[in-house]
Amino acid sequence: MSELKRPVLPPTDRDGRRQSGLEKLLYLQRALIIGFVLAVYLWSARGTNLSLPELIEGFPHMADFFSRMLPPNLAILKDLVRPTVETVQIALWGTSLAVLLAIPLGLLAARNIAPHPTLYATARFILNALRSISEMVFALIFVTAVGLGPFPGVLALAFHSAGMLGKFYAEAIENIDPGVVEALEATGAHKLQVIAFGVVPQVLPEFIAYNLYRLEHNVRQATVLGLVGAGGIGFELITSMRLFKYPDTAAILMMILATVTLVDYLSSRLRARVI
Amino acid sequence: MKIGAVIKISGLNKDFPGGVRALRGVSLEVRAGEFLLMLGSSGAGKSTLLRCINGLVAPTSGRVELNGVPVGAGVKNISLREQRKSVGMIFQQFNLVRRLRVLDNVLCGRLYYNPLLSSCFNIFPQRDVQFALSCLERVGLREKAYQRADTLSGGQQQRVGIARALVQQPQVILADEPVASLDPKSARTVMDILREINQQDGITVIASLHDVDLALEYARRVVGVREGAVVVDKAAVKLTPKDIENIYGGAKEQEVYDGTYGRLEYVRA
Repeated sequence: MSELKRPVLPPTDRDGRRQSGLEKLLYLQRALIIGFVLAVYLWSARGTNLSLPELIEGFPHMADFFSRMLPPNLAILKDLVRPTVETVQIALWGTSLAVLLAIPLGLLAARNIAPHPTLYATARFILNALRSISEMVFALIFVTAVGLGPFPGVLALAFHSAGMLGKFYAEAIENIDPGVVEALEATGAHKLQVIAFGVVPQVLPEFIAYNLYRLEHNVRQATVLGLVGAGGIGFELITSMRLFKYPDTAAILMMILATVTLVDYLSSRLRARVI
Repeated sequence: MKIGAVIKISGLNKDFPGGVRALRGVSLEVRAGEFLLMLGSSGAGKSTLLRCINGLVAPTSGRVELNGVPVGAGVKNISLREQRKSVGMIFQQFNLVRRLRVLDNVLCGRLYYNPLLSSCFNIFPQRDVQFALSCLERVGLREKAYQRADTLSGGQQQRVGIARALVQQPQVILADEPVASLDPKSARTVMDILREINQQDGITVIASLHDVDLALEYARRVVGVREGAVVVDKAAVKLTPKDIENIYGGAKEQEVYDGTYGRLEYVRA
């Protein structure tokens, strides 16, 4: 074996400052990257009409709008209970159906579990497709297909959330300790038994946490599904605004805020318990 | 007991993707009831060889026979799972399901024997539970049965691993570096248990070790593996210093296979 060279600290700093050609090139590269990123941002600002003066000019209008919301019409709160409950119900069923859809998809989309590369690729594709179509677009589609009401809202949340959850599940499954899977396979266990004992216990805490996160998200999402006729409190919201009943709008927003806060609180308490 | 080879390996080669030759023409016969220790530096191919025996790694060429039946070939309606059932395996990293109780981990060794649906919901017959408990007693951990596996020390976890292999009612136990992660005292306990089940139950034990002194103390037969080939195969009492040198070779840092035993491969299998 050849003798190893000991690392040497240069005697003075000056030696370190002398830049080699390679180092200069790296600096140039960094400058180019920063310049490019800045250019993209400026270009996008023009594309979106970002304008500080316009924002400032708009302040009086906003103030006017808010003043017309006051005082909130609390008298309608009792009429809001039913749509609020419906909103939470939509989120609950939407999330639960999503979990059922996402479990098989997530298993197939995990490289270490998928029985065949074709199935793996198919599952990945389906998950990507579900994720790329937002809840509102799904809601529009299902309202057209099954008619107005909360049910298309449930379906919309279920399909989009299945895409999100399936991806999370797949990632969690890909991160499990492969040794456990190997050990179970070595006992002669069936593939499904390997999943039940080797995969499920390892991913369970993350699985529950993801589902609760998704439930929180879906409650927020369900508050706007009504905008396209897919049930929940969003329908009251859009109606009040179309009729210029801004004090009603204010009361509805308060209701949404209270509901979302409550669900987030309960859900985070639950999550803290499982982790 | 049946006389003759439990395991017959002939002309076994294994190339991993990326051009690593893990095994080169390995032939080996193991008779029922043997206690065989495999020596070799890390990356020599011991893990791969062990994994070819229970079909966790599929060889590139050559064959492995278990009781005269090729492993994983589905011959005579004997499935790979059925063959794996009669080969218990324990691992350097124990590979227990950490979040499950010790007893549940042991019961994993009974999965083959039980109906798919009920076992997936962790429902086992009382008989199996009793047997699992008695196997835990065998390794001295009966009182830990209802604790979570990750609350146990390394040595205890390895003993749970042995209990999991025992409830399979195996003919053979493969042990891949079973004591490499343990302190010397725990290592000795684990080796003692392996020797005991070999002698009392007549279970064939094939273990890889890299500690020569430990191997010489326990082995009856030693197989030396170097660069994917068997270079020494003789009774432990006849082993000479020259053999050891032959196994570990001129101390040259060889280009070693890093010992992930073709994980990708079984992952796809």
